[in-house]
Amino acid sequence: MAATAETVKELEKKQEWWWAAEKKRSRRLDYLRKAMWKKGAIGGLYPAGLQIDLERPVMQTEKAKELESSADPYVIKFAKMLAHVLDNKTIFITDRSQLVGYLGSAPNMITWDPTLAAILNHEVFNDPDSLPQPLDESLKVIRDVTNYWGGKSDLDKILPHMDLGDVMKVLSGAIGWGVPLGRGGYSGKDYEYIMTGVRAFEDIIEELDRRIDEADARSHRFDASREISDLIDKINNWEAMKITLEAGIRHARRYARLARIIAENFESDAVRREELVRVAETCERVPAKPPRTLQESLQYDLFIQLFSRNEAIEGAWPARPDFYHGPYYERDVNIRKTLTREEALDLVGEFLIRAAEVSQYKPKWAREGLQGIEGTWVWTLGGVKKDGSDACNGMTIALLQAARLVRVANPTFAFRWHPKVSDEVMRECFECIRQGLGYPSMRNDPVLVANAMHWHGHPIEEARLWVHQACMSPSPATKHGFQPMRMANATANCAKIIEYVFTSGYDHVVNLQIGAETPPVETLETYEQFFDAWVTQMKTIFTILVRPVNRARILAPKLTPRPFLSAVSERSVESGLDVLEPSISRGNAWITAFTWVENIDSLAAVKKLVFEEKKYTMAELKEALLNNWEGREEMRLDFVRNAPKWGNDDDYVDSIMLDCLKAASEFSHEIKCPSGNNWPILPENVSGNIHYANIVGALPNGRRLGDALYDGGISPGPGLDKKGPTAVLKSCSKIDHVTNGRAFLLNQRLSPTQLSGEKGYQLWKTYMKTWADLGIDHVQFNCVSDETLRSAQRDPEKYQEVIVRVAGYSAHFVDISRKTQDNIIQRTVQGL
Amino acid sequence: MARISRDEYAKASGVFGLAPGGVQKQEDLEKVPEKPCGLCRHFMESAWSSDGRGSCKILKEGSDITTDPPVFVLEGKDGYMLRILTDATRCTHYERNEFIDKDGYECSDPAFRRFIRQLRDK
Amino acid sequence: MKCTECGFEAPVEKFRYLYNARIDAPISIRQCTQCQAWIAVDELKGVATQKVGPGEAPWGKSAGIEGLAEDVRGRS
Repeated sequence: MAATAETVKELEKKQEWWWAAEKKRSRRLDYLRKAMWKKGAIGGLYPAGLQIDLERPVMQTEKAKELESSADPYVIKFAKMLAHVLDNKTIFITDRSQLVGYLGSAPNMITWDPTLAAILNHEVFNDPDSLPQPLDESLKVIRDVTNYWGGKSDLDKILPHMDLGDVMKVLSGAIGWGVPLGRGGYSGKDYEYIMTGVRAFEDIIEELDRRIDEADARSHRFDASREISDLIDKINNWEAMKITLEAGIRHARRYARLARIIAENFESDAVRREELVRVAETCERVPAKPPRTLQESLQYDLFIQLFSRNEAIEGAWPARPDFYHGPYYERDVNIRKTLTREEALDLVGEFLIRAAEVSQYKPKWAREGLQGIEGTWVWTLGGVKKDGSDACNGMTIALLQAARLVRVANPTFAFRWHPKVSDEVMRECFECIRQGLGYPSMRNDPVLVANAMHWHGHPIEEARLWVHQACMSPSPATKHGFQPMRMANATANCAKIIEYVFTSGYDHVVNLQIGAETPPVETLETYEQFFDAWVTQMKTIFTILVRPVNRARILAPKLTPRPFLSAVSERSVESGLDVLEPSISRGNAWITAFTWVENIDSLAAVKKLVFEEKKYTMAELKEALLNNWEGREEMRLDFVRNAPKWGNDDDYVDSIMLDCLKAASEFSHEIKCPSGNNWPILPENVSGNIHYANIVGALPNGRRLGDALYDGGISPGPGLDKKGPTAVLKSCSKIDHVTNGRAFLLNQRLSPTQLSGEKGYQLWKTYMKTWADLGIDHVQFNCVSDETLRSAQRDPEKYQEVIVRVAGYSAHFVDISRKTQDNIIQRTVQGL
Repeated sequence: MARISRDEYAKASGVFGLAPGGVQKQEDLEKVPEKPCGLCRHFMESAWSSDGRGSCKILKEGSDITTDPPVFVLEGKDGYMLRILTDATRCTHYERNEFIDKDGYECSDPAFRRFIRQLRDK
Repeated sequence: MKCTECGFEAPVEKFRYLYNARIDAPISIRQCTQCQAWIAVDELKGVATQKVGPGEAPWGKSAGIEGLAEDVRGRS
């Protein structure tokens, strides 16, 4: 850009990082960043200009109708449907881009998969804002597609096989979110199989052919055992895998062809022509053959991600880009020197942009819970190699630098800190945080490796290869370690636990008996009895959420198979079993515990004001809560101000946190996933604290129905951590971050002024040392001042690029609702 | 946690649009009656509200406002499940809500939320 | 309670409750059903105190050391 160094410096001095980035990045990155359509919902609604793509649903429906009379088993029909989409969908190449591929038929299109759930399809029909014009024509198409998939969608097939009571409670949306689907959630990947440069699609096809031939020969011997019968299923699965891989190769070659057509017929610029030829060569090479260059490696990864998202709605993007692309970066930039650092940054920056624009139509509850983003693309950086040595490399630094240039809110990074991380890398992490990106979040690698071994029995060499499966939870990207689908409905709205103690399990918001019928709260005579009721409600809610997921995992290989994900997973290629088959997975399940700390503060308030000080009777409190504290403001403030609050290094309330986690973690060992492994809890929120604001009734911590809940994990309530950052860390360190749960999210807000300059870095580094010494597994920072955020509320057009950390993800401040904005501003700014 | 009967489920899941007893056609789900439940102040949306599901704060399970005469069950526990576009013409408990916002942007009180396309101009 | 914007008078609970961003403060945001303005309400006194416009925070600044950001304010 034409900006002088002085201009950039000036902007940086004013902490106007977004304008400085615009001036610092290359012309290409600037163009690509501005050509990107932001896909995250504003509040709960898609931004103007985005449209639901009707091309794909029509293709899927046509193909499904055509295949109705075919003799193929379902898994092959499904693979053919996927191949049909990849062979026929509209493709395009964005000007100046070097990486290609998008889910929709145009850059502003959000793809909708009608095969997943009839209720999602009804939602598309009802959506007021995102339907293409002319409306009548769109509605006709949607009506036809929706009518066809009614009764045939994945959810329609799965739910009748569930415990129907559980289904009703899950679908009320009160205690959890999401549905148990094999093709809707967070898909892990076997990166150790597919991303190490050893093999690519053609190699796997060769292996599949060999396995099919062997199985075919075996199954036609004079024998009639169960094994022979199973072989028929395996052959079908292998064939389906092969169909998807071949379709993937053909799809890439369509891009190669398009790039050549543009280069040879339309492009007048010689440099761009060369780039297009390189794009063509790249797409001719990958995913058929293993990548040789950074560009090929990034393109290969992108294709795999897109194919997988053609097969399923993936709400997360587990990845470790520095680890798997690092060797190519090293070779191109430092060894062969075929790329300059700037050229490499262009590619890496574009990779972030390509990921940021990926979009799949999601129901409104998901959009409210993930305001401002498309899903939790939390990419893992840093960490250690299999042998325990430092895994950071040139690509780690390139990704952190590119993030500051393109400033997308999604993907975000989570950095696996360990004692061997160099100061150079720590400074890069800090620079991203200081510049207000809200990422990387910092993860304590030694603690989390131990945690992965404790909870799921991952061997140390595999535990060290972990990536974030969603916002927070580690999952090894290995043959048996990775979880193919984390179904989102094991996400507990934990504030309901304490709410149901007061209503004996009846939910007054959705008018349904959901929790356990514990005794009327006013009859509980001691705190111990009160806490027992809490434990009963906790176990009830966790059970209702986990059972459908277990059931769906067992049913999924037959009813909702994943032939593409299977094809890129060693265990499925080897066994012929669908990747969702629990018997070939070690299991890496967890219960996301939304709205957790409300329980702790509420229990403490009840213990102190009702049982110990006897200032109020339980009946009085119950009535005040049922009336949403209306007319009882003085009493409400008493429960807020005169009861101890989590996050102040106060043993009175901190011990209650430990009691609750102890009860939950004991129960986590009792409930098992279908692979026979544990279900630990993981407190964190995304923006569920806003979505659930209107679903959780009044609570004894002083909250009313409608108020945002706390921002999640083990973060103290906004403004309630009054004793400084060390007190917060001390409270958090009382938790055993290995055995009390799978991970614990901690949001902290820091002052941008205090973090400026070298002094700021040293302050932060000292803070991080304390954090690491105390064995806390996670921390993430917001580093934008009240003033900037209030100005952004006043003048959103001017502050389009301000990014904030919401919970396990970052978002552009202007894309989140006013309630969420105010919730973030009210978080305590900790002085270091 | 008692087992729920398949009949009960069929009834409730029909409201969910899951259609166990035969596929509910989209056109049946989109007719906008003069008095839709979604505009009543006693209607509570579920968290999956944008596909139109919810329940009644007054009527309990066993009620049926679609029959003539309608059945009103006021005693009991679980709420009567409905959709936003359920025809409440025969419901004597109907009270039209005063909507005061139009855009559905803010994630706000479900009782006041309105973002279903068919109700936008009502 | 009387709306600070349009003068509409009704019991406080008739004003649509939106939220309270600061749990330890008695100030909530409610919406007037007549003029739809967002108004700050002192829940202890049952009094509407001001209209809440974009960027306005009736709860005041956030807790902690936000005051340190003063010099940023001066610079921008």
